[in-house]
Amino acid sequence: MAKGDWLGEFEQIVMLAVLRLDASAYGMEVRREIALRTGRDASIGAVYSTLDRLESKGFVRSYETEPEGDKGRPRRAYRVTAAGANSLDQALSAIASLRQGVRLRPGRVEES
Amino acid sequence: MTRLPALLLRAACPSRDLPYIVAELEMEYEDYILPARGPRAARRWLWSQTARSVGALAMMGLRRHDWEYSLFAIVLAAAAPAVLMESWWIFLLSTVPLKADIVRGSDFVLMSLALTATLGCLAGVLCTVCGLLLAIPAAWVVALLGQAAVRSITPAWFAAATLFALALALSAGACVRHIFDKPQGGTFA
Repeated sequence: MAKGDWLGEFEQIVMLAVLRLDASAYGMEVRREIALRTGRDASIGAVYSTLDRLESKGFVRSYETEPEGDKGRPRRAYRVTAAGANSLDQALSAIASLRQGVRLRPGRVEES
Repeated sequence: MTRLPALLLRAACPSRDLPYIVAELEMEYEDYILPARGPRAARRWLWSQTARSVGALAMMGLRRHDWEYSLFAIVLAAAAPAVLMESWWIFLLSTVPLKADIVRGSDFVLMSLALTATLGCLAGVLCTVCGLLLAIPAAWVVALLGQAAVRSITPAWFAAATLFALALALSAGACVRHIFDKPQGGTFA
């Protein structure tokens, strides 16, 4: 895997949120899902910036959906591509592999 | 949506994403946050979202090489006259044997202003009219820092004239761009 293809922590979180939301993965819904699941209050700018970076890597694809509501607001949804799913799987497997056998219990970690 | 946060977002956000981001913020603000938290807390939420988003969105535009947000070029255009004119002044001083009481004359000041206007106009072409909201203050800060950093022996009105020339030149450049290349804004742009 090329160096630029590695996924950062927030990129992994955003991709997982997009996968969870499936067809309704809009920027604000992704932000809300992240807040709900992780307690992390990300800004809409950070979410869009990360989605843009993922799109430039070919890991997600965006498409415009029908305008919603009385005001006909334009919306753009995101989907994870096969390359993105593969990269996410590798990143999560790497973390799981490193995590295996490590116990975060008192005595193994330095007390602050 | 409150006017100032919307203006800030419009200044920082690349035009491709602007309609979607503004629409999503509006929807979240009007449909969820305002009824649930009340006007005061909702405004605070909106301001917090805007303040935390502006940097990330501007970086997104730069990363994508959206030239209308190329603040780097604008900052360079604002800083370059101070650096170039200082270099020229140092060269002039090196040719003068007696340096006592030497001051920068009006010809020097006019040259500097002309250079500022030319570079500002060129940089302004890279900027949209909306982008001016961010570009002009950024250019002013850089120009003032540049003037403070160099050993300026110039008339008092020079700083004000430089700021005026920068704002005018950037605006002129942005207008030229606007005439030839109207950006796609969508419903809310």
